[in-house]
Amino acid sequence: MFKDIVTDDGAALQASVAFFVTFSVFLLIIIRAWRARRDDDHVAHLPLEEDSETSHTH
Amino acid sequence: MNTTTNAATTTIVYDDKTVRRFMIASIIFGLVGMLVGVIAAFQLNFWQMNGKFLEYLTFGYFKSEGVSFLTFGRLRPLHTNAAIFAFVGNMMFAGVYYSTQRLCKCRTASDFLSGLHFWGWQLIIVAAAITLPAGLTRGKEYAELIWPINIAVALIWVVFAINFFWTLARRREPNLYVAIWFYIATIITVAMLYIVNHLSLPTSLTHSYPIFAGVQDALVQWWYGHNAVAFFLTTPILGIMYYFMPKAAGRPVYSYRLSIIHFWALVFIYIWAGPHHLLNTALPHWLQTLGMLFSLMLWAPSWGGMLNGLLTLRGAWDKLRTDPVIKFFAAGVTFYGMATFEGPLMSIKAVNALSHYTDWTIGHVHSGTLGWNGFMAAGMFYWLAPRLWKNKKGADGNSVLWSESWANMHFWIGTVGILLYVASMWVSGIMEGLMLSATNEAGTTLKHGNFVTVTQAKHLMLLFRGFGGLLYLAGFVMLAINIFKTIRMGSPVDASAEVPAEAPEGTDDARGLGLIFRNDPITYSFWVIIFVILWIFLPKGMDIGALVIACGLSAQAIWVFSRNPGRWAELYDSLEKNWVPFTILVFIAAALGGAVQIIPTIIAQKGEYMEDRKQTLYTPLELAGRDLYITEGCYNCHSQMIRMLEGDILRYGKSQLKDKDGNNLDGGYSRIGESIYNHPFQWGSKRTGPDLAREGGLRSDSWHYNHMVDPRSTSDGSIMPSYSWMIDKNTDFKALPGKIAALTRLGVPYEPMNKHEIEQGARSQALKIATDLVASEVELPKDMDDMEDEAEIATALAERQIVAMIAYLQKLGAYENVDEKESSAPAIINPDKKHTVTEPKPGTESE
Ligand code: HEC
Repeated sequence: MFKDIVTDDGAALQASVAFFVTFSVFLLIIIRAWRARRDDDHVAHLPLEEDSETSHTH
Repeated sequence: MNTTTNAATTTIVYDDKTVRRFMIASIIFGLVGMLVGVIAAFQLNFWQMNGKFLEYLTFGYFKSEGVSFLTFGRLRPLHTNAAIFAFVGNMMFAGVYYSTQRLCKCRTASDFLSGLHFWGWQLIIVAAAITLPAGLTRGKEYAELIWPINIAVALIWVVFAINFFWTLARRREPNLYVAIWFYIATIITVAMLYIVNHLSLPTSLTHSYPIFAGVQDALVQWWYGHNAVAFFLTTPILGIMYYFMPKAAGRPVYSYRLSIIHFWALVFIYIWAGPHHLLNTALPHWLQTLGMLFSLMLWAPSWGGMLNGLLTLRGAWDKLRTDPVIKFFAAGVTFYGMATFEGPLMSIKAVNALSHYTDWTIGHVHSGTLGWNGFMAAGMFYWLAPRLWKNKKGADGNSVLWSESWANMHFWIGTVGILLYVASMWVSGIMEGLMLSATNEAGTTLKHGNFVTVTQAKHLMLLFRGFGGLLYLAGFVMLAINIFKTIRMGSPVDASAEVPAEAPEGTDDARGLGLIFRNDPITYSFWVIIFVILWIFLPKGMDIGALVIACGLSAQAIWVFSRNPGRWAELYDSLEKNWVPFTILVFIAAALGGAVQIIPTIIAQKGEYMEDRKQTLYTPLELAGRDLYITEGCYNCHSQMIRMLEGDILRYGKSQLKDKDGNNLDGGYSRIGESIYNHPFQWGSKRTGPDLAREGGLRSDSWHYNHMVDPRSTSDGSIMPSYSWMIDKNTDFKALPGKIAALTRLGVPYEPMNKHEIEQGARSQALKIATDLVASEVELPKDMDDMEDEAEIATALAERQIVAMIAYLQKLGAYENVDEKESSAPAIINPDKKHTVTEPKPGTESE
């Protein structure tokens, strides 16, 4: 069966299948992400924490 | 250093000195790497750039047709290694050290290790910059450095890893942010790839043979090569994107959930895609198919990442007009999207038939490196500079860049440079691909039989490419000046922060390790993957069963998830707070693809199992010639792999050699057995010159002699460098016994020969070639001018490198037909064996 993918004309078809399956999964996730509100939990905000002003100069 | 301000928090000072150092190193080596790239680019337009130009510069005082350490074959590895490991490497370390401390809310674990990491890495770069032009190389792309340097790289990488994970262990923030996941994946996977692809058996302090040969070596090399792109040029930069883009935009990443999917899909899928570098070659079909399928699947997570990055700017688009940092980030991520769209496209076998071995690939790589890596680096440097070196020159006394308008100018020059580069390489590559395979209507003869016709047709496009690169370099020079001025304008500052005095509850709790084993998503993923792998390997009939089970399990997993999605989210949340199980899972996800592809290939694809053809072993002299071929980096322009394609077979397939009974060899496309004893393989990735797989017997010895000394004398309009020093330098006969011994240990079935037999054998074969050369009146080396006796001249000439090189070139394509026999190779690990493959019978295709 996997062999059929490898040699037969199935190659083109099944490559497209693999491609579209992953593609649709991601499309779905992206649409969900788009419609959902921005995640504004603690983790997502981690990069936004600022260094304190007490800078240390050498 | 830590001063407790109250019971709950403490003030720490970040180690920003290490960040500053890596950033400066990255800029300096970036300049060097790009400059070498521009020189190498113009060498393909003007062969004189390979050393002859020194003659013009010194008004003829310095006479030379070519200078060995300046030739394209030696400079290209210097360029690629400098760009990847020195420029992007140092940039990545700067970004990782800066962001990890802040995301972990603690200073990097050890200043000593940070220093060791920095200086060790720079020392490695210097060693590379000396050895590569000197011709000391392993002959595998982006893995050229010689074995003592390999060991140093591995050690320094371990230093980096210890420092990094130690910092994670000491963190004061329970959750590992997505940037950290990408860094973990980078550290673990690069270590794995680097070690496996650099396994070699030394024959001297500066030379070694890779332990894999032929198809095995090809597979391992591109598993490494492709994933160097994935885990050295992509994942760390994605981590940097996930940290610095929100910072620059002043808003959190667009979707944290999307980043979870993006991360795991990328880490798991990328590793399988290596074989797309070997499509239509002698690589077993099942591997080619896997490579193509996974490459196509890669498009989705890559674009998931791109969208997540771009959408982070949602609500901050106005900054795009004014803030150069945002400009570079937005363009960098867009180029990432472009390159990751083009990549899957080029992995489709039919597209690859056209694009592979052409300039299209070079253009593709550069939309990634110049567009994605270079622009992300620029964005990060412009953001970091005024924060690492503080000044008060801003409108309201804040710290600013020396010149925003210079940064903007850099952006535009750089963008035009990339577009010029990529567009000209598309034109050049597609034209080259079409011309090389174009035939008459009947398909019996080539339209452009002379290779140089194609070389010359590309001339203008390559010139545009060179100017594109030059523009990009000019932009980067502007960056260097801008950063330098910013440094001069301010003073170095180490930031500090108020952080919890103790790690908050939930950080690396004891429950963590158990998580890997007791959790639905992991269990389901594990079994689905197992059954998909069984589908690949099980015999016909059973394989369908495995596929059905895999589908069933997937459906069940979706059902379980939909019943209680919150539970899976909670599970992930605890995983995210435990770095050890997280790291173990990353390793498993990244190791799987390589293991499934490489282990069966190592077991099943060996010389003794070859079924139709088997390579004739090199004589000691030919081996010496082969090692020179590797030293000179001929593989940077020549492939040795005739693909199963009409155009390839017509152009390169005809064999001029005979078997031991005196019958003509069939030739045709290259079979797996024909390079099965080659340590390292030399299939190549680029055809700036013609394929050499069946070069043996095609030309006379004296033709090769003249061609190597002055390619223009035999091939009008050639851009191949002159290798005139090969008639002056001597072959190292003394090293041969050690080399043969090493190859024998690696499994090349040499008949037992003693030292004397090896050296003598090489010398007498050389003498025979040299005698013929002298008889055919080639132009002899200058130092033989005063020799009279032909025999004396021949003896002297036999010592020269050119003779070994000719011996090697004349051997290329020699093989023995293997008698039909039942293969003793284990069939289960070779899915190609499941059914009778309808390949053309040997020989029929070349008619
Ligand atoms: C800059 C790219 C480049 C490099 C490096 C290079 N070559 Fe070439 N080579 C070419 C080109 C282009 C041609 C076709 C024109 C010609 O015949 O010179 C060619 C042709 C050849 C041919 C003739 C093939 C035929 O029969 O038509 C041989 C043999 C050859 N090269 C060997 C070598 C060897 C050996 C090295 C390393 C020492 C080397 N080349 C390095 C570009 C290169």
